[in-house]
Amino acid sequence: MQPLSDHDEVLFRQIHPGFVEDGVPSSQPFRPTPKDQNKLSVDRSSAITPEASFTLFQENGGATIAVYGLSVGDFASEAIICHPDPLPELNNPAHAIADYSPHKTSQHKTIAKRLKRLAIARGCFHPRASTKAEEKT
Amino acid sequence: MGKSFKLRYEGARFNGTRLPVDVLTDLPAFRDLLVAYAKDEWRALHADRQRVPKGFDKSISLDLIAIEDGSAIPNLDWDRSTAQAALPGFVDQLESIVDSSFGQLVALIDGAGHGQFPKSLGSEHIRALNKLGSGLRNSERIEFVGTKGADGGVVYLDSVRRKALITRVRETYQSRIESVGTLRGTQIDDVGVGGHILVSTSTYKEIKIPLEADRVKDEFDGNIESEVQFDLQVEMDNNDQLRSIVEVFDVGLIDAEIGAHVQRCRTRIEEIGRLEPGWHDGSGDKIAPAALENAFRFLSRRPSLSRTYKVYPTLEGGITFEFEVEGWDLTVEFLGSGGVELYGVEIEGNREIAPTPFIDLSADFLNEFDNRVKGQN
Repeated sequence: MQPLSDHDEVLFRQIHPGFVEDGVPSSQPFRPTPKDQNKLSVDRSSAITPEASFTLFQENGGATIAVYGLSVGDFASEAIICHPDPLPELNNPAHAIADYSPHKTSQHKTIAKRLKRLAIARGCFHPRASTKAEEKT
Repeated sequence: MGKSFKLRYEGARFNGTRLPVDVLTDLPAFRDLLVAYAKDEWRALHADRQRVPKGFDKSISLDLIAIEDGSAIPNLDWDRSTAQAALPGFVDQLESIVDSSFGQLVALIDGAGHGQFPKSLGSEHIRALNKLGSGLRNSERIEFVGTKGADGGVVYLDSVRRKALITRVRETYQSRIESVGTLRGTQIDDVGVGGHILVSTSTYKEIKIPLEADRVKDEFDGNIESEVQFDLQVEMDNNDQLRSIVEVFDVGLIDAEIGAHVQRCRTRIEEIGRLEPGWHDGSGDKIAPAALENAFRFLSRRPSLSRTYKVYPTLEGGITFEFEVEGWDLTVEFLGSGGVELYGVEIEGNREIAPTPFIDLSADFLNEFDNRVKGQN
């Protein structure tokens, strides 16, 4: 599929409860896990709302406590291209992937730290109450 | 029915099925060592109980039922019906415990033959070891028939291995501990020269730390309930309980506000330590003891930044501290292997610190960490 080209489109990322302390997310959810094979799962804001993305993730068996967002442009600043990746079997036409494969795994950690900062600066999309992380930035 | 243990006495004295009476004390000593391990096993299986049940000792009785030919091979028999009479209802569990205890006994003796010794042993184990094989002469040995050691041969006890075990293994071992606790009391001795502070900790319960009277008076008096950071050389017993303090490397009060943040971080680490495998939607390893230990140690060594630390688990069973200092967003990652990794990104600039590994929470790591947090990069 063609890469996403609207650099302003925000892509939603679910944050597991284990990766939040005192309202501040870890940088770990902003990089792929070993089983993700360099592809970070996100949902397109052009196709789903943050609330629906949150609910759908839970309905598909995942644990989440917050939805943060990064734009296609944010990923592009780290040389990460995003592609649509609809998952009809999970009732998720909004699914997309951010492809970290141009980078060595050893680089993912520092990339994730920069992306985390950008995500916190955008604010938590769901639930919408302000978090300590936003207050800090 | 039950279990049989055969001890083959190898040596000229034992030919023709002869067992001199001076080695007969080995038989109860063997049984006592087996019982010592069995008690440990029972306590491990029943962590809610402090003592073994009444009748436990009697339930592991051994009977000499034969001395086989060849060389003297006393057959010691553990009988299920005897065990049932002494400790009704636990026979199956006891059989499994006796099996496991024999395995540990054999491993102890085989280990001694290969230079491997436990950190410490309980007093019951040591008393039994002092008797087992005490009648052996040079070139004689007791073989544990049916066992296989690290070298593929039968496991045996001779006077060399026995001496190594008795002299190398003690009831206690020394260790260095760095942690934080809460000041509960202070005392100065009658002469006014020495004293101690009483510190309450979650791991070691209450510790009495000896200090000069001047320090007790000037630094700690009037600060009850404050957080204390300490670095000690201690003597531990085989249950990892603190027995005594050998040397005080460092002890000091932590500022009250910092103390509260240290406690917050400690609570968070403890919470993370309770995560079960699969905690992250089916993935996510249990947090490794080495990572937990390093996280606690790091917190006690560098408490001043605890206000900024955010603590998280990793999927690989480690722990991260993420925090901002001197214009940098840093991560200290405690790996499940016991290693430590430092990495970060500049907050307002483009520089980064690529993941830098360290073998453990070493002086090298702490120096590098201190350089980074002081802005020396």
